[in-house]
Amino acid sequence: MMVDAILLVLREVLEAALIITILMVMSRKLGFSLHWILVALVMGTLSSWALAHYAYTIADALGGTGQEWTNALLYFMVVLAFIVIAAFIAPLLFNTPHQLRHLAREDTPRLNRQLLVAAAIFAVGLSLAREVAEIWIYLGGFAQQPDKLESALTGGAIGLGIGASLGAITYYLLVFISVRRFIYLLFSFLILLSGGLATQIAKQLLQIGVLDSAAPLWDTSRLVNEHSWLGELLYALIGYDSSPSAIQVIFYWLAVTPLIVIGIWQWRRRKLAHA
Amino acid sequence: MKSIRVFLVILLVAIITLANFAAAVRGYLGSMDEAEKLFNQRLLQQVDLLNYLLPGRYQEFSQNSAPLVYNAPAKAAPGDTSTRVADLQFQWVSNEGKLLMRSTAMPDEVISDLRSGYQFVNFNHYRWHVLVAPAVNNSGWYLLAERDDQRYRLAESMILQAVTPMVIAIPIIGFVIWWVLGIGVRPVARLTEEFHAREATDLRAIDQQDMPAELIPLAQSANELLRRLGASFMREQRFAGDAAHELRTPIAALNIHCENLLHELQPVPESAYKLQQGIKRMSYLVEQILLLNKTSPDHFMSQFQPVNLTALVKQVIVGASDALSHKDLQIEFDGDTCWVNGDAAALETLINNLLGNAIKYSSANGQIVVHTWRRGDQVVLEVMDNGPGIPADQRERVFDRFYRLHGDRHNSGTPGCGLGLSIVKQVVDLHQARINLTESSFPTGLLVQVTFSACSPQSLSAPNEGAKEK
Repeated sequence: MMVDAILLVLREVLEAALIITILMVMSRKLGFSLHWILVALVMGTLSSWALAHYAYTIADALGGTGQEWTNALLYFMVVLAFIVIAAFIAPLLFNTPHQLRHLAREDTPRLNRQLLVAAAIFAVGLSLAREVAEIWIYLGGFAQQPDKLESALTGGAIGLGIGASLGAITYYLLVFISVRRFIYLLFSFLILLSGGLATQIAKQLLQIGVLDSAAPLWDTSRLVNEHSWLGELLYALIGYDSSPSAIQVIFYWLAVTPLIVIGIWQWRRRKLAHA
Repeated sequence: MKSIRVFLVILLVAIITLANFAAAVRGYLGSMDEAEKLFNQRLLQQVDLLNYLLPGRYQEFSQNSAPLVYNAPAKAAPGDTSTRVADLQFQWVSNEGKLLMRSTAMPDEVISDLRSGYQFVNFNHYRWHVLVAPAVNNSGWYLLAERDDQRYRLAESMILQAVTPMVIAIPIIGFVIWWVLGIGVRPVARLTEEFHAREATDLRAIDQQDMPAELIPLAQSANELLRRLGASFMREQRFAGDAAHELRTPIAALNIHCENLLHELQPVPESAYKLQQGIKRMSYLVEQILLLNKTSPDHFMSQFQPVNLTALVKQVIVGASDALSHKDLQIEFDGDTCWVNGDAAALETLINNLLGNAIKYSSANGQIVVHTWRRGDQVVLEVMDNGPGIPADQRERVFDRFYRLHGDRHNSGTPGCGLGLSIVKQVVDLHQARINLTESSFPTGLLVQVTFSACSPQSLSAPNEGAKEK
């Protein structure tokens, strides 16, 4: 019971903590105020509560496919927010170390700060809404079972503590790396996270039969089991699926391609400017 | 890193939480394994008990047509959902597979294969942990069953007693770390306070006694910097004094020679008058620059004392009587007797400059109003004229050094250099006062309001007599 609660909460918290951490570091490196995180946390917590409170109504909607559609929509909006953030970050990818060192103090004209902050709020708020709603529902199920409640709450607290601690340690590790390295890391994370979320959209649509399921393209469960600690960690980081179907792989590339194109376009632009 | 304390608290709590919770999970899994072994051991002990009681009656039971049902006494009150009791049931089965005896909750069929060892079996809507053990003297088999969920919860409830305090302890640990770090960084806060509380002119070395080893290099560097700064100030002061002397004397000599020249030359050429004006302008500019230097915070050496601002204003007005009568200006003074804590000389300069500006910019036969008001714990000095005033968009810029409104095109005949209001602002800042420029209540003109903190009654009890006299 306790281990189940730890795994469930950790799985949800870890993904949210990673997104929150990396976007907070982005704010700090680019010299933004961190106040937006409060707005995102409040928005995420309230939305998650609403999603959990109306979970049954949502699940019954659209002929019993409401939950999957809602999840797919939330994943899709987070992917969109990541693409917006990546589009603003991409011009910084090929800046010289000297230019990047002064980023925090200068208002780079290429960077529309307000849009970037709005995208960050949406990414964090919507991710929290989805992840925390599942925790509300899970722990809410034990409210009527006092004999299991303590175990579930303790497990939940441990999962939350481990997830939040890893988030805090990651935050300071990222804070102390150079802006240049961080921008590369951020862009790579955005690609991996977007790809992972896109496979989740495909998974939701496969579940309700909107997309045809097919045999998995490969099976790496022997290498890394999805339900092992490493599997759970990889799921949180990159949406790891040991046996993805072809449609999931297509969705992955649909999300990842715009980001790669943005990156290559910026690289060519910078190369032409230097030529 | 915005705050060392926040950084350390977050990172330490995160590391402790991670280590603690990882240990808790490891401990939990290990304890659950141990509990499993313990429960299995208990089932084996039950087998010993049954071996003591039942094999002797094997023949008797095997002849019965139906199995005997053993009604175990209730271990818990009905409805008790506590995890303190795990439901234990058993079956006694003959070698041929006939059920000889069973406890109440057991079904009438044999629940599992007669294969020695532990198995999981589902019956009565639950999953059961079953031990199949051969009875002694070839007297059949015992099947002992424990509800898996109850057994799991019983084990978990015991282990949670050890794990839960770890979870509760984390916020307490966080608070303790916050508190301890607060004590740890107190010397830094003390050093900051010492720097903050110092007067701009206090360049004494920092006392390094009782200072933590980590801060001593910082204090040494700061002391070295203060020493260099002090030397630099001394050099500048000496230079300012020397420059004042060296500049004033030749300018005064130039002035006298120019006056003599004007008397000797008949008729006096126009260029000689222009020369005299130029010398006056240069003399004024040098005086103003020296005044600006004298009132700068870095060089402001005097100690603040209670000053009677009202008396000071009256004294300045009397001093300006020639300039006032020269332009036929009417001056009105009113107000309460106000005391402020400050430097009398600097305040006199401030009033002089404000009144000088009012006189300079008022047209002939104009009006000037000066007030000193006491408003609660504040003192307001007001100087109002009916000159051209200052446009709203220029009111901040006039405090810039050498900034002259419209190139200072006024017909006062008084030379200007754009430093008067800069000096006023410097004195205002020095006294931590506020200055506000608005429109006067005349059809045109400027109202200057300077708001000081009033002198506290304690400091008024023994005011400086010298300042009083002024």
